[in-house]
Order: sequence, then structure tokens, then C-alpha cells
Amino acid sequence: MSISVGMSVSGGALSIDEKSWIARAREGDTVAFEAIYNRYERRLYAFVYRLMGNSEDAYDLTQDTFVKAYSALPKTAPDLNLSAWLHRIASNACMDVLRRRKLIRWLPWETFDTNPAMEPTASDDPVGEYTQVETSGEVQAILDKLSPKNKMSLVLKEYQGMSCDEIGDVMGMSRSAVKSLLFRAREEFRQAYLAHYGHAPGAESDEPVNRNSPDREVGAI
Amino acid sequence: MNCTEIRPLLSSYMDGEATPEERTRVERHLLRCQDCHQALAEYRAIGSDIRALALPVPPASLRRDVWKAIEARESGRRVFGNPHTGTRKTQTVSLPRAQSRSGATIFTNIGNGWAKALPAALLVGGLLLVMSVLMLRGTIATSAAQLVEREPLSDYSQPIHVKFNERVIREDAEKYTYVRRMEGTTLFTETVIAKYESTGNTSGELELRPQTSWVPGATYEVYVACQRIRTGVADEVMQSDPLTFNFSAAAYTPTPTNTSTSTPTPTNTLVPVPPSFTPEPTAIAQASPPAAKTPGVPTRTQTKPVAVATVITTATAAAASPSAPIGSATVPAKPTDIVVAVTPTITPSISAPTKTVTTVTTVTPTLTPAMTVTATVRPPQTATVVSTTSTATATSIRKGTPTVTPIATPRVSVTATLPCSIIPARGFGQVWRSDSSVRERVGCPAAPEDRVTPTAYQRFQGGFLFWRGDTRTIYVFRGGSTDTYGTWWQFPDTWQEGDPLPSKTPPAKLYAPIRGFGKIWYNNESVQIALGWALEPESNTGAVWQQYERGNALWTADRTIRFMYSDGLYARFDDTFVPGPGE
Repeated sequence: MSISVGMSVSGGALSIDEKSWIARAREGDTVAFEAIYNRYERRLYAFVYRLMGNSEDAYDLTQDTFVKAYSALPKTAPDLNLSAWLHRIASNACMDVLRRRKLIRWLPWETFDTNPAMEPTASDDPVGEYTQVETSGEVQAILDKLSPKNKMSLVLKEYQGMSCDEIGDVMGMSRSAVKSLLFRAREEFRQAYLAHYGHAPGAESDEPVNRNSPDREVGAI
Repeated sequence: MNCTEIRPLLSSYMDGEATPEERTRVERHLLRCQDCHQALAEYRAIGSDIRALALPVPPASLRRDVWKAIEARESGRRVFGNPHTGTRKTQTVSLPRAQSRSGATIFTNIGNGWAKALPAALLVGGLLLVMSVLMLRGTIATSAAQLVEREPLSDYSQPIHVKFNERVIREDAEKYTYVRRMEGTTLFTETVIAKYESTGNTSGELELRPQTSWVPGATYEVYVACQRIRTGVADEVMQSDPLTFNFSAAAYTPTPTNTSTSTPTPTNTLVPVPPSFTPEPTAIAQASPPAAKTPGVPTRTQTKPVAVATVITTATAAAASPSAPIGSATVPAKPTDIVVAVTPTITPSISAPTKTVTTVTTVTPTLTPAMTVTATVRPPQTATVVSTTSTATATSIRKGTPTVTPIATPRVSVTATLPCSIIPARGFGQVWRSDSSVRERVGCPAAPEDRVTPTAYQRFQGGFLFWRGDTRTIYVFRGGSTDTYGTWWQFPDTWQEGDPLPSKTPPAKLYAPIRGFGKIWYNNESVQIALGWALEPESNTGAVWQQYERGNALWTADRTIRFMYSDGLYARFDDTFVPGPGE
């Protein structure tokens, strides 16, 4: 094939499409903002849901995020990384609430053994009729035991699928700081899991299908 | 190197963030340290656990509340002065026509600014009619608008009717009644052919005909924007209570829109977007088995609420496609292998082509022209194509030959700044590049293609089921194995080993699905009706998946590619990709 295709790398995962949306939304084009909303609504809602552990907070804070984004968008720089920016707004909103609650409750999180959020009831069913049976209620419970920062880094990494660079953009940290934060988060998760369930994560095989744990790298050694 | 030093590296090693040197150190250590090996496995397990957490779906009201809050904020600001006044004077608000009309009653008190254009559909006076066809029977007789169809629908090509209990302005009723398909919280406005007929002095009926067919099992919402619809008596808006309706997939007798006109051709000619977009009378004929329909339904410009940006975008692209002058950058060797459709402004000395012609020129060129081509790629977006070298070969084929007979037919090596940060490759790439309607509809890839494991696959009388083990999702594909188009939808796989399933005895030589497929099939009548019995037991299939901005692409081991558009349709292609050496 004689065609060489040079790709634009500068935008990272951003497509021109998204850039033009941002530009248009900045100019006040609500159709463009709606497009942005459509693209990020679920993603941000899921993110906030996992940080907060319940749908009420997820609802309110996702709403706050978009409202803030709407008014702040015209003031942003032209090379805005929209995904990181929106996640940052959302995570700041979550952090505020988490911190405030921590102050108000004045009891350490760890003492709350039963978190209502970890046992979804029929009325708080996040995915509607076809709920994936949440064998993972326990996972959310452990997440909720982590320090907010650790939890956030893990959720951004594993749930939102971000790279360390992107997480750095969201959390305002350097890449290497993110790397060590992730390490601490994993360790905290591991310890919390062990303390709570008496076995290491992944040690019991009562899991559904999707554990892709056999590791390529190790296997190849 | 001890474990304390290695642990932090393990974490980055797992994330692919370790330097080569760190990587080597980690791997060496792992060889002899069972504990760290175990820790790595646990880190991975944590990742899988978190990834396996369900994806919560925001309630439908969130969108509305967001816009309400934005509007409240915007209007509140106006009271105290708008901080953006200066910048907004120059704004170019591209609104759907309906919103830019001065008669947009809802916004008259708000003034300029974003809020003025907030989606009417989601705001104040909209009439959201909510009713389920199944639950419907007579429950909303008092409403000024109601659905006529009361039984579960049996034909997914059939029109539905909204009865107005007031006499309304025909044009308004046709223009401001939308049918939207709900996918989670996202609403897709369906292109429908709307036709209003007065049925007396005080009533009228609006027929809404799908351009292709309704998607089985989907939930639709008929949205009657009452604030926009003036009554026939005076210039007043209609008053009514809200209403929406569900399409239950009770019975399904579809023909998955076999639009012969849109057989994907591997040329660069812009194929008319197959279903559901520009309302053309021809499409009506294809989509409407029921006879009692006047053919010459006026093509109307459908105004859409802001809420459906996706559709607006696509529709614009589609509308632009057929008649626009298109030039093509064509690879000499393979005329099918077209990278970008360009509207070239070639400098120097070659004038832009005004129509697409194909010429075959055989020359021995001596020129080495340098050209700069500013290309408008459709779709997806604007790109700048700089074509450089042109040491020509003897024979080359160019489309969009300029009006000047070329002295040299340059071998154009296109260095394109393509609009996508990821370019589809191999079989997907071949289809994506050659079929503009696919590009328009799915947009850019959102991720590189990926082999899916584990998978399950089972062919049925009316389509097939496909299971992605990594996301535990089951996809229903409705459509014949050689049909060009079909419909798809999905379910989370909630089946657990040991779940009891009912069992139906299949006719001879046919099968009833089991396990996850069985659960979906037995629990969803729509799936049973759409697919019928299985033709074979389920099996593994090799599958490759790629997520796009507006859909997905699926390759299955029968060498078939399906582009699954986010509006619930898919287009099927044979995979004709032949890997080159080293691929």
C-alpha cells in the first residue's frame, strides 16, 4: 500500500469531532453541549456512582458537574482535554462531599461495617431491569473503605480505563505521583479486602466468567 | 532487590508504565519470588473486580434536571447581569430551526444566551405523553393527544397514530411531534414520516410512519411538543397532559430494510445513507407494507429538539453527501482503496473538479508537481491533506479528474492529517474507508480493535446471538445471514451456572438455546419472536471488536463484518481483507 497516513497525535484520544463540539459549545451552541453531554453522561455518572457508592449522590453530583461545566466551558483554554476536565470537576465535587461527611460523622469510615450502598435494593437498582447480579457489592464495599484519593485513582484507572497521564490530568499530579498513588491504593484495597473477607482478592473462584487474571507477562517468563 | 522495593514497581509493571529497565528487574524478581507473583495476581484481580462492577445507568430525569438547573442558573444570572455579555454578542448559535424561530414561546423571557436555546423538548412546557401500549387501554382518554394503537403492535413497519382531541394547525402537528427511541437515557430521534389529517371540526389524527422499521423491544417516546402546537381555533397553544409510549416487542414481522439502493459499494461514491435519515418518498415505499398510504407525502424538514444532537449531526452529514462535488484521492494500484474523499483546491494550475469522472491515463510523466490539497473529508470531519511526492507511475487511475487534462498523472502519496486519532485497520478499515455511509454513521474508532475472548455464538432462524464474555453482554442480531442490514440490541448476561431455565422442545433439527442465551431467549418474548429457534448448538467463534464513537464493529469467524450503529441498525459486509505480508 503506497499510502502513508500520518495521524494526529496531539489530540490524544480526542477526535476532531469532539474538538469542534468543544469549540462550538464555547460559542454558546447548545446542540454541541448536548453532544458533549450525550457522550459523557453515562461515563461521569458511573464514575461518580463508584466514588460515592450510591445513586442519590451520583445523581446530584453528576448534575452539578454538568452545570458547572456548562458555565465554565467558555473560560477554558483552547486545548482543553475535555474528558480529564469533566472528570476533574466531578472528582472535586465528590471530594468535597466526602470530606464534609467525614467531618460531620467524625467517625472513621472503617467503623461503618454495613454500607447501605453495597447492598443494592430493588429501588436502587443501578442498571434497571437487567441488573447484572452484583456479586461485586463487596467490591464497592471495599472501595468505600479506601481513602478518597486512593479510591479515586483506582476507579479512574480500572473502571474508567485511564492512563497514568490522564489520571494525572484529572487529579493534578505528575505521572510518577500517580504511579505511587496507584500502588498505595492497590495495597490498601488488598489489605482491606483481606481484613474484611479473610482471603485475598481473586483467591476464591466464586466469580463469574470475567476474571482475566492469567497474566501474559508472567506466563511468558 | 527485595520485595519492598519491587512492590511499587509491580503496580506500574502491571499498568504497562514501567521502564524497560524496571520491567526487567520485576520479571527477574518474579521468577523467584512467589509472594510478589501472588501480589501481582492480586493486583490484577482487583482490576478485574473493579472493571466487573456494573455500569449504573443514570435515570432518565437526570438530563432534564441538568438542563433545568442550567436554565435556572442562566436566567438567574441575567437578573444580576450576565458576565458573558461581551463574548456572547458574537456567538454563532446553530440551533435547530424550531428554536431559532421567534415564536419559541418558552424562551421569550430569557433573553440572549445559551439558555435561550435550551432544548425545548426537555424544558418547561413540553408535553411528554407517557403511556404504555400495554397498559394503555383507555387510561388517558382525557388527554388532548393520545395514541390510537392500543394493542401490542404486530408489525414493526406499521405506522402509529396520535389522535388530537383539538383541532390543531396541521403543519405544527407534523413538525412538532417527535418519535424518540430511548436507549438508556439517551434519546435518538427517529426520522418518521408524519402526516396530519383533520378528522372533524375538533379533532385530527397524525400518522407517524417509521422510515424503515421500529426496533423490536425498544422503548419509544412520542413527544408532542404541545407548547409549539397551536390550535386551529385561535393562535393558542394546545394544552394537554404528558404522554410517552412503549413499543413492546410483542410480535415481530419485520423485513430488515433491505434497501437495495444502498448496497455498500467499495467505491468512493457517497452511498446514500440507508435507513432512517433524510425522509425521501422512495424510502416510504420500501418501508411501508400497509397499503392505505398516499405516496406523495411531502418531504418535510423535520425540526428536532436540541436533545438529539447525534441525529442532527448525522442528518447534516447525510444531507450533504449526494450532490456535493467530490474529488478522490485514489491509490493507483487499487481503486477500491480510497482513503479520503476530498474537495480539492489544487494549486497550482489545476482547477478543482466539478464532477466526479473517472479517467484512465497512461503517461510517462516527467513532472514532479507539488500540490497542496485542502480537503474536506466527509465524513467525519475536516482534515488537511497535503499530498507530496508525485513521481508517477505509468498507469494510474484518478477519480475527480480536473478539467485540465493532466500532463502527468501523479502518483499521489497522501500524507493526511486524518480526523481520527485511531484509524480502523484491516477488514474494518477496508469497509470504513470505502464506505462513506459507514464512516458517517459510526464516526471514528474509540479504541483499537481487539480480539474478544471468550465468546459464544449461535445462529437462529431469524439472526444470531453473540456473547462477549469479557463484558458479559449478549447481543441480539436480527436479520438474515446475507441481508445487508438488520437490527441489533443487547442485554447484560446475568446467567449464573445452575440457574434453572424453562425448557421448550424445539421442532426437529432445531435447538432451544441454553445457559445465558437461553435466559435471554426465554425471558424476552421479543428475542424469541425475532430469532425463532436456533439452527445449531452454541459455539465459540473468533471475534474481533472495535468500539466507535457511534457504534461498534464486529468481525466474526465466518468472515463477516457488521457495523453496529448506535441507532440499533447494523450493516453487514463480507470481509474481503487479505492480509499482506507481515500483517
